[in-house]
Amino acid sequence: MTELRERPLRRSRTRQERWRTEFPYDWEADSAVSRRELLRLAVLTSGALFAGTLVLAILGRRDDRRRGAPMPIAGAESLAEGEALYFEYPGKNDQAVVLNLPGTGLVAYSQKCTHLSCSVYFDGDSRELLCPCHDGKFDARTGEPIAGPPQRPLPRVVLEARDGQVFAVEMVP
Amino acid sequence: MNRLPAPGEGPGRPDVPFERLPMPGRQAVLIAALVIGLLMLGMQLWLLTVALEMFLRGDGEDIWGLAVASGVVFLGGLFTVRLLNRRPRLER
Repeated sequence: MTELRERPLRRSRTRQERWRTEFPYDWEADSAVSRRELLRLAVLTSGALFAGTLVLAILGRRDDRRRGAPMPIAGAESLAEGEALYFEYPGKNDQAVVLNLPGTGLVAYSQKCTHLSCSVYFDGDSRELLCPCHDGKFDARTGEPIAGPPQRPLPRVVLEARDGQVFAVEMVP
Repeated sequence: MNRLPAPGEGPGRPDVPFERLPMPGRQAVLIAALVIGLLMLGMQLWLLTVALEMFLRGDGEDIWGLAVASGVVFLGGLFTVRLLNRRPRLER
């Protein structure tokens, strides 16, 4: 019995010694993080997360509407029902689309998909705005996401008719 | 009030000065504070993601409630650290 008990012990001790020789570790030179330090670090992280939320709250207070100068959309007034016209608003590199929907009239949205910013396009057959990157779909009448990964609606472009011309006035997220 | 242990009666750490030895039950309190603190951090991270989602959606006015909740958690953490740094009086 005694031999049976001692043998595994000896074997494990030998293994441990071999392990220590092959993988020496200087515990004295190591700088371990104490629980107290970890708690302080957690409080610092908590402060950073709070600061992030506070910054978002402050940024959210200002008016998010991107008011560009009112811009005429050439050809929008003669757009046939069920057709789409692509234009740039509010900046040169911001693509947008205006649609003439039966029963609704003219509506315009930013073309930037709210998932990963691919350009959405209007599919006349399904009357939906489609994102080719991840098969996201938006309702053309409201801009709300109806399928795929997007969770937020497309930013809407407010339109105004002035002197027989259609103007893009502002972008509402 | 806690009684100081006599030399040799302590928890067997001759290398640690007596003043730095943890009080009985102190380690458990510290671990509990750490676990609760880490759970609260997870909640704060969730609050931040909800705030970002609301910001991108354009509901910026409603983020203040989330910021206040996050601030309360942060202040609670500060208070806990301050409380744990205090050493109870020892009676010799």
